[in-house]
Amino acid sequence: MGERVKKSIFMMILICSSLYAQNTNYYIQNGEKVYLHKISNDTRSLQNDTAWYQKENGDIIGIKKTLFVMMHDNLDINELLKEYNLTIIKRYTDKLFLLKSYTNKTLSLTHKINSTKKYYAYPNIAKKIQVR
Amino acid sequence: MKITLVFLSLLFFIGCGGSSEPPMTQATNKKDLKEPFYNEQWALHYDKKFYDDNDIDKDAHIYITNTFKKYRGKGVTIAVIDTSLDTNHFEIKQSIKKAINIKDKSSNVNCQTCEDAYHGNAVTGIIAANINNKGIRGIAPEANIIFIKLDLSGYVSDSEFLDAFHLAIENKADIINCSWGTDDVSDVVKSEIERLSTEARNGKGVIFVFATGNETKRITNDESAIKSVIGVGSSDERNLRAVYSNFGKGLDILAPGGYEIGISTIYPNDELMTAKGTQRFLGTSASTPIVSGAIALMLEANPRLSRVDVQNILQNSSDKIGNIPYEDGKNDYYGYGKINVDKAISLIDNNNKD
Repeated sequence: MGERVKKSIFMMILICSSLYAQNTNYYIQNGEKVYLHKISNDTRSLQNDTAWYQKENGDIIGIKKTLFVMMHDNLDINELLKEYNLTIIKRYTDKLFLLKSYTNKTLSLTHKINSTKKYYAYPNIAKKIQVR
Repeated sequence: MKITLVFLSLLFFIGCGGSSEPPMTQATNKKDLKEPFYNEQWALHYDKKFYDDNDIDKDAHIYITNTFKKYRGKGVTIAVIDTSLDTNHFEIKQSIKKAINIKDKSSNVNCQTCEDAYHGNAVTGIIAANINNKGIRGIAPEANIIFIKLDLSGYVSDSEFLDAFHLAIENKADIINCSWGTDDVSDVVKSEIERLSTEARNGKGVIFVFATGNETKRITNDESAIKSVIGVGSSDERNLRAVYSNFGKGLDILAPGGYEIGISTIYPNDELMTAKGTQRFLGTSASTPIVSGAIALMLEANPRLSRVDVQNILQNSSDKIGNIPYEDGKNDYYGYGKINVDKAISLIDNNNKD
């Protein structure tokens, strides 16, 4: 393989990695980022409460327009609702809520909320499962 | 640690070196003898003719006949989260205390046109088939069943999983049977399963029982791999791990799931799926309700048992089958071994006497 070809491949890898690094289409699972690629031409997209993505391993998942938020102690959920224009759908425990988001960028919203370090936000993911 | 030592001592006295009980040639309850397909329920007991005819290892069953003399799951509630259920089936209608469809919270859980509609029936029948002399015997025929319908053939959201678990808890479930899995459990679901396994049942912890799957692969980020969950794999007619059964750290225990011969259970519209019928129920989905039913009998024997107690008892009473060495009582292919219900109940009954 010629030196120029090697260089080009190296540059392409570098560009791809840097693009990936800026990608906000991800969520955190087991402490690691799970990157997602948005699917636009998919019949599942007709469900307007869900955006569909493909994971790196090929699995297709849906990101609902709702999100989970886990509260740390002594925090008021109302502050969060007001700041990010969210409403409560369900209160699972004193600290765990399912919230409705009015943005199409639910993943970005979870990152924004998590960056405050005051709350823990997690997308509501729809996935295909199998009976066994 | 103390509890474990007590169990180990008890095990020593009842004999812990494999399956010491001789094969039984008769059912222990006259009523059971009248269930027309009881002789085919090879997973539950040794029937010489059926075992010989089908070349089944004499220890392939779960050693439950002594337990059947005393316990039927009375007073214990099992939530079955699955595809669909014919709640009027003659074998289970007495046991169904509540049915909830997660989509609309209605009691309509029967969807015969849904993909895998039989599955919820098959799982529920293994646990709850009544003693009525008409078909088969369930492991815990007097347990209360809460059936929660999830659309398992489609896409299910994490909030639907949590709704199902919380409905089970609101309806006083002691055990939650899940003969399915995602291989991709979200952090939020994992965290809630762990919390409920510790805090529900007034602090004793609800007992989640999940199937490990049938793809002959290592268990990864699956519900069955959560530490507080009992992950169930399958054994077969040879009394070995069934070749399809997934393996790895998340595997806790095996129960019969069959390979060529199925696990007898029910089918919609008052039909049955027998061990050698044209349609057979096989796999870790079948093994999981065997374990859930057995746990119901354990909780009837002692309702004060916590989730951790149940895990310890199962670990210390399981038969160490197979040829792969067990380290600290466990290996990746057999977990802690195959469930032995009579041994588990002996540990509880002996402890109750103290």
